[in-house]
This record gives sequence, structure tokens and C-alpha cells, in this order.
Amino acid sequence: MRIALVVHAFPPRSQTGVEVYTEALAKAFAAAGHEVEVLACFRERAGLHLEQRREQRAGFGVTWLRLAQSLDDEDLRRTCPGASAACARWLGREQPDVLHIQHFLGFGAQIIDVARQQLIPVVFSAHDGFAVCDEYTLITPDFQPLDPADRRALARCRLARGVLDKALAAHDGYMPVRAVPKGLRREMDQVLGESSSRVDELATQLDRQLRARLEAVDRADHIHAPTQFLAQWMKGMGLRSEVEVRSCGIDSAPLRRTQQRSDPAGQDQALGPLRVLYLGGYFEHKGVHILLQAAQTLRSQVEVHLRGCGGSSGYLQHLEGLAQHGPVHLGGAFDREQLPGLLHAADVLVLPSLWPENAPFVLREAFAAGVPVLVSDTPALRESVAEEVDGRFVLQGDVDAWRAALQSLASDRQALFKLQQSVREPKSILQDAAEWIEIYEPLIKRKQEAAQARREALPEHLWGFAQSHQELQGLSTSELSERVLEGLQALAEKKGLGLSELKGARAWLPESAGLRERIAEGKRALAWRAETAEDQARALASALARIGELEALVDNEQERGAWQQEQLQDRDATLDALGAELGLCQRTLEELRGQEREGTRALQSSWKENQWLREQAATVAAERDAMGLALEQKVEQLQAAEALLDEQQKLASAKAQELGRAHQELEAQAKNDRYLKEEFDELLEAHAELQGERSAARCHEQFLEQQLTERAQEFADLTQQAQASGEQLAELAQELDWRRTEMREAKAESQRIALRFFGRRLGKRLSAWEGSAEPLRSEEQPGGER
Amino acid sequence: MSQPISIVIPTLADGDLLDGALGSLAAELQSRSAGDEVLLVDDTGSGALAEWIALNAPGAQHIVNPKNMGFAASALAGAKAAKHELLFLMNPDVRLRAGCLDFLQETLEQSQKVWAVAPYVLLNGETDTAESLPELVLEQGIPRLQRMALELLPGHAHPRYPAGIPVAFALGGACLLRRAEFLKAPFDVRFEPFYWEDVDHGHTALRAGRQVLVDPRAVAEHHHRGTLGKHVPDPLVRAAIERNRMLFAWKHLGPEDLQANLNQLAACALEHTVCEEREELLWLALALERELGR
Repeated sequence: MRIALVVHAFPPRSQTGVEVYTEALAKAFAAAGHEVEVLACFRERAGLHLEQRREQRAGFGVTWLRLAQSLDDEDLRRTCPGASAACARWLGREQPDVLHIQHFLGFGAQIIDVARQQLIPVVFSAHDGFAVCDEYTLITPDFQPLDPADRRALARCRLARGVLDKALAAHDGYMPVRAVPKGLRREMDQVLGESSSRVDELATQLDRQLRARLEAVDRADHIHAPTQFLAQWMKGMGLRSEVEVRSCGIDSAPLRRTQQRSDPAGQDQALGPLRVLYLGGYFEHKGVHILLQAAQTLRSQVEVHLRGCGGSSGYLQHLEGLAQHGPVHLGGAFDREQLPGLLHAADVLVLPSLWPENAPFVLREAFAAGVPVLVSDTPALRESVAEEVDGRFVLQGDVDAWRAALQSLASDRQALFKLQQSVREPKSILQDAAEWIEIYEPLIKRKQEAAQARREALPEHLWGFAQSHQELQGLSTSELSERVLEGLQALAEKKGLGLSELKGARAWLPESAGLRERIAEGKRALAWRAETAEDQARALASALARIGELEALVDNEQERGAWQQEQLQDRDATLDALGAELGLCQRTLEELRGQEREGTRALQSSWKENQWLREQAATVAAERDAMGLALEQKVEQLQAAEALLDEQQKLASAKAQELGRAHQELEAQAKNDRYLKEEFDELLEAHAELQGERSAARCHEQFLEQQLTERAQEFADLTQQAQASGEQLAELAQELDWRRTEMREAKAESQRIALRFFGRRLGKRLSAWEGSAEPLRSEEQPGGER
Repeated sequence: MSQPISIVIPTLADGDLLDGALGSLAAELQSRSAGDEVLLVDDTGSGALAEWIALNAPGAQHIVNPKNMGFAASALAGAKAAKHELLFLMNPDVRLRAGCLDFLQETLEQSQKVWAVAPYVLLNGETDTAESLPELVLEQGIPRLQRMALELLPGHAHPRYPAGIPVAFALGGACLLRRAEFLKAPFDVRFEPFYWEDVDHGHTALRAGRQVLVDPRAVAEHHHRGTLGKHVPDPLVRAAIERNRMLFAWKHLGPEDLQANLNQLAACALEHTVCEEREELLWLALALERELGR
């Protein structure tokens, strides 16, 4: 049987589980007499992309496919362009009876269809969840369980890794989960926020990719998984095909212990510390730090030996730091030849993984060497380890639980010995290979029957031709070539012609396999380069067109820029003017604010003054009213006096008449009469004088009255407007005072005049006039006063 | 009066194609009124066409192959069953335009030297995709067919070749020849299942000093691969074509050309090996298997 194995990596470049298993399987197939070809890819940027190199191993061939294209992109890391086409060429060349895919990372799930197109039965072994999910560890970057059916969760996980990767680059690739800075958390929260459109877009994209991958896997003729856990998980993700669950074998012969362990009964102290071995990658999800933290306080009881590779320098530094505080020997990678020695020197193998794990090959290797295991308690590992038979389970990620488990074995060597004796022998790789052959055979037969059926569907006269065609198609390229060259030589001989050069070429062909492959690679690379060049030419043309567009845009932009510059200058000028205006306005504003403050103060002062003036006005008004009243009274008195004066005049006239009559009657009293006459003349003179004075006083009084009215009016206006100044009011008040004084003086003057007029002669009478209504009685006896 | 013609149509279960072919043929035969006969060679191997022929072509003879035998054997079976001297081989995907058979007959009968006459065949009926006028060329010993560089107006004789245009061969799917000669020298079975048998037939005649002509006045349409394409996957058809190209070369080339051919094939084989061009190697292997009887 011609068997093709495809795997994402292969020893010696990679020594981890699936790769080592594939190598062991290839050897086992070859040992059983089958032809085996392995196709493995390796990532190396230096060199030709998709370059193929074949090397002959013991019993089988390995073709290395170089993936040299940039692997920066997430998707490219998973499916490298051209890899599936290269696989198609390899399949065409090798024409295997069956293709067994151990891992399609790098090739892409398309290789399943590629093989089916060539009518090659396809077997797919799922060694992890990659078939249906990129996050094959099924945990988030912060070690939380991940549900891959939740595409948004997947998208968030990938975005988070993107953010973390950038951040980790500054921390040598490692940062304890709890030590993630707040800034980074904020950035992640921003990226991963529920409303983030990036999450939605990526979730849709991932859903499409993963569906396509799952559908391709579903088209495999046989799907295998080493654990029920993985099988059920894949079915849960939508895989329709049946999944065969069967454990994988290992090459256990080199690992078997040659010397039996002795019973440690009663020698617990003499046996020294418990020798604990960890083999694997130095990755955080492997939980190595949990083991070292647990071992820190068990210095005298345990001795931890770590051997492995991979991981970031930051994480390694972290492990080195932890190792300094405990009984730890931190070692690097190891050769397969060293594995038996490492296992035989160990009391127990540990697997403190923080991810669910599947069916780690290292457990079976430990079992083959009779070494029990301490493993994280996960459903998948429970399928590989029988408790208290092959080992024990420890609570995942729990440092205390790990410490207790180590301490328990260290202190109870009898229990350890019992486990070491009960560990079950794992399936051998030869048995595994035999089981695979049993699976391959019906698949190949089914394919042959299908091909036969297709052939028979052709018109009958084509059967022979179609069969020849199919048979020849089943030959590998080298076989086909050999047959053709041999046939051509035979034909030449038959026709009596020479084709001697062909002999040399035929002899040269097998020897020059390397050269042929190099030429083929060169041609492939050339084709690749040509395609790339075409792509680049297209890109260049596109770029040139774009440049043209951009140049036009630049021209437009420059014109626009110039226009905008002008606009800008105008705006600058306007801005300057506005700035000046603004300064002015600001100054004005300041002034206005000052004025406002002053105004406010003035207003407050005015209000106070106003209040005071109101009060003063009220007082003045009251005084005015009183003065008015008094004036009115005086006027009335003056009028009364005038009336009296008129009456007096009338009386005086009557008196004069009486006096004339009395003169006549009183001739005797001539002297008295003359005196009376003189007195009367004086009285008349005084009366005239008084009349003049009174007229002046009346005029003055009228003037005062008018002034008072005007001032009252002014005061009223002043009050109404509330704007009259205190000074005016003071002046007014002063003037009022002055007027009052004037009035008092006028009054006094009036009184003086009255006194002068009446004082000498009629003072008493005037007082009496002023005080009573009988002034004339005194005047009727003027001689008495004299 | 025209001589009657036996029209032999080897066919698989292609009732739909026959509809078109027989429709055009019936009109042609009616206009000729020469007592022509139509022989439908049922190559289904099961007589599956009996009912269809009884229903759609009751006037045609139904010849049933005991098993599916292919075009060459069916044509021979039809020729054997035919009663007229003139034989028109016709594929079921060919449709004749009016006057086609009369022109062909006239050209064939102009000289005994003429081995076969083909109409001007328009691929899928398109005027600018003429299929006939083949010319055989050798490129480093490898025979290739190409169309003659000749401007033609369908339905009109070429002024330079009023008696017909000499060509490399007459299309096996539409050609008039003499039945007796065909029975003596039928299609070579080495080219089974199909393709290049008519090239070989024509080239053999040319090598014997005969003429193979195309009469552009006679026009037919070829709905290419209407027959095979339905039953055979493309890679097999291509493999048969390429294999037979080499068989043809090895049959007809003289020592010098044959040496060039073998040298070229050896070089190509090496190149195909290096370049992993498996298909070309496979064609070559098929040809060598047949030629060497392996």
C-alpha cells in the first residue's frame, strides 16, 4: 500500500507530540512493507516560497515544503497561499493509495478536497481542536474557558491576542495575567467592547472561515480523534461525519525500563527527594509556573526536573525566577535518544496544564517507561489516565493542590511504588499502524469501486481506454516517466531508429532526482515569481493609476491650497482686525465693567441719595406745606390787614370828615386840631409809606411765592427723575434755607416796617390788630399815647 | 439525375441531437428525390433507439450494434448495410444546409481521383468559425492540425479552387466517399475510441495519390462534441486526442521525421518529468501502450 502522511511539522525540526507520532507511524508502516511518503511544511522566510526538498529516511521519504511568504497575518499562519496547490502536485507525483492528514496547519483544509479530486481516500486525525477552531487550547488569553461556537468570543479572543502580542513584545513575550497594566486593560476593553464593530466584522469572517474548514473536514472519508472529549466537542461544533475514537500508539520499545524498581518499604527517608519530571513546551498554558510555585516550599522533599523548549524569553525568565526559590533544575530541549534516560530517572511525570488538553503523547511515553503521572484534572486527561492506576489527578491551576499532591507522593513512597507497578502499557505504534491499515483498506477498496463504477458509466468501447488511463494515472510521476522513456526507447528500436541519448537520460534521471527537484522547484518558484510579478505589475499599474489620480488630486489640492492660502491670508487680516477689535472690545468691556461697577456703586449711592432726598423732599414738602399754610395765613392776615386798612382808610376818611366837622365844631380846640392834623398828616405819610412798603412786600411775596412754586416744581421733577444730584438738592435746600432766611428777613422786615410804621404810633394797636379785633379803640385816643 | 446516397449516422442515445440532424437531412433528401437512404447505426449496445426511430424516423434503417463499438466500427457497420455506392458519413450533431449533398456528389464524381469530399463545416453554425479546411503541419516531428489561411464565403466556390479545395482530410462526421473504397479501407481501429481516425483516413489516401476536397458550396453545421461531450469526461477526450496524434505520427512519418519526432518526444518526456506535467506523460504512455501492444 502506498501511504501519504501530511503533517504541519516533522522531526528533527519539531519534536512535539503529533510530529513524533507521525514519524513513528511512518516507520511502522515502512516496517510493515508499505510505501510511505511524508509531506511536512516548515516556516523559513529565507528561501523560495513553496520550495520542495525530498529526503530519504529509513524506509520512507519526507518532502519538506518551505513556507516563506510573510506569515504576519493571522490567516496566513493557518493557511499559506499556494500550500494546498503544492500538496496537490505532491499527491499527483506520489499517487498514494491513501492520504492520512495528521495536521493541516499551514496547508489549509483544502488539501482534503485536493486529494478527493485526485480520487485519493482521505483520513483525517484530529489531534486537537484546530479542525473546528483556531484557538485550539480552548482558553482565552486570560485562561478562561472559551466556547468556540460563540464566534464573537472567538473574535474577541483573537483581537485580544493581537493587543497582547504588541504589549508582550515590550515584556519579552510574557506578562502575568494579574500584572496586566490598567492602560492595556483599557485598550483591550476598548477593542473588545460589546459594541465594537471590529468584533462583529471579525466574528463574521471567522464564522465563514471555520464553517468552510468544518465542511472540508466533513468531506474526509474517515475522521479520527484520540479522545471522546475531542470527538464530542467537534460534533458539538457541527461536524456531521462520524468520528472514530481510538488512542494513538507510540514507539514504546526504546522507553521500556530494563531494571525493575525495588520496593521502597521502610526506606522512605533513604530514597531522597521525589524526582518530578516535566517534559514539554515552556508555555504559560502548560502551567509550568504552577508546578514551580507548588514546589517552592518542598525543598527537601521534591526535586523538579524540567526539560523542554519554546516559549517566550519573558516566561522563561519568570520560570527561572521561580526556580531559584525551589529545588528545580530548569533544562532545555532534549533529543529523542535522551528520553528513556530522563524518564527512567524520574519518579513521577507531571502535566500541570491550564488548558483542557487532549491525549498528550508524553503521558503514553511515561507509561511506556513505567512512570506514573500527576496531571491536571480535565475530562480529556481522564480518558488517558486511570486514577490510582496510572497516576493521580490534581485540581487544575491550584498551587496548593499541586503542593499537596507532590507532598503526598514524596511522603508515601509505597503508594508511589504501587502506582509505578500498576501503570498500564500503552498501545504500540506497530499495533496502531496495523489498525490504521485495517481502516485504510476498505476506504481504498471503496474508492476503487467508485472508480470502476465511473468507468462503467462510460460507453462500453471506452472501457479499455479508460482503464488504461486510470491505471497510468495511478502511477507516481517517476514511474510514469520511467515507463514513457522506456517505451520511447522500445519504439525507437522497433522502428529501427536510435535514441541512444535517452539511455543516458534514463540512467541520469534517478541519480539526478535532487537536480530534477531543484529544477522543478525553480520552475515552480519561477511560476510563483511570475504570478507574483504579474500581481505586482497589476499592483504597479493600479498604483500608477492611483498615483495619477493622486497627482490630479494633489494638483486640485494645491490649487485649492493656494486658494485656501489666500483665503487664509484674508482671514488672517480679518482675524487681526477682529483681534484689534476684540482688544478694543475687551478694553471697552473692561471699562464698561468698571463703569458698571461704578454705575452700580453710583446707583447704590444714588439710590441711597434718592432715599435720602425722598426723605428730605418729604421733610421739605412738609415744611413747604407748613410754610405754604403759614404763608396763606400771612396772606390772609395781610388781606385782612388790607381790608382793615381800607376800612381804616374809610374810617380815617370818615374821621377826617368827622375831624373837619370837629374842626369846625372844635375851633377851639384849634391847637389840638392842628396837632391832630399834623398827626393825621404823619399818619397819612406813614400810611403812604406803609402802602409803598406793603406793595413792595406784596411784590416780594409774589416773587417768593413764584420762586417757591418753581422750586417746588423743580423739586418734584428732581424727585420724579431721581437723578437730581445731592449738590443741587443741597443747593436747593440751601436756597430754600436762604429763601427761608430771606422770608424770615422779609417777615422781620415786614414786621420791622410794621413796627416802624405802627411801633411809634400804633405799635400797640398793631399788636392788638394782630392779637385782637379791637385795635381802633386805642387810636380813638391817640392823645393818650402821646 | 443524381445518384442515390446512403447516409450513415452512427449514434448513441442522442434523440435530441438526431432531431436537428434528421430535420435538415429530410429537407435535403426531399429536394434531391434521388432515392437516398438513411441508416441509423444504434451504438448504444442495447437497441435503445428502436422506439425513438420508429416514432421519429420511420423511413430510416435501424442498424443495432450488439455492443457499443465506437464511431469507426459503427461507420463500417453502416457502410456494410448500405446499398448505394455513395456513402455520406454523418454525425448526429451535424446539420446540412440546402444543396449540400448535391454539391458534394458533383465534386466527388468529377474524378475517380477524388477520395472524399467534405462540406464547408461551420462550427456550431457560426460563419466565422469554420471547422473544415484542415491543414496538417509538422513541428519538430509532432503533427498538428491548423486551418488553411483561405478566405471563403459559405455557399460559394473559391475562385482559385473551382473544383474543390484540397485539404488534409475530410471530417469523419460529414464526408462523402465511395462505399466500396471505404469498405476496402475503413477507419483504422488503432485510433479507437475516437479522433484522428479521419485524419489518418484522409492522409492515407493522399499518400496513395488521391485527392481529398472541401466543397465550400456545400455547407453543414457541426455542433461539436454534442455526441461525445455528453458521455465522456473532458480529460478522457483530451487524452484520446493527444494519444492518437502520436499514433498518427508513428504510423505515417518517414524515418527522418520519425527520428525527429522521437527525439522531440524524449525531450518533452524529460521536461514533463522535471516539470511534473503528469498529463502529458500520461498521454505519451497511453500512446506507447497502444503502439507497442502492452
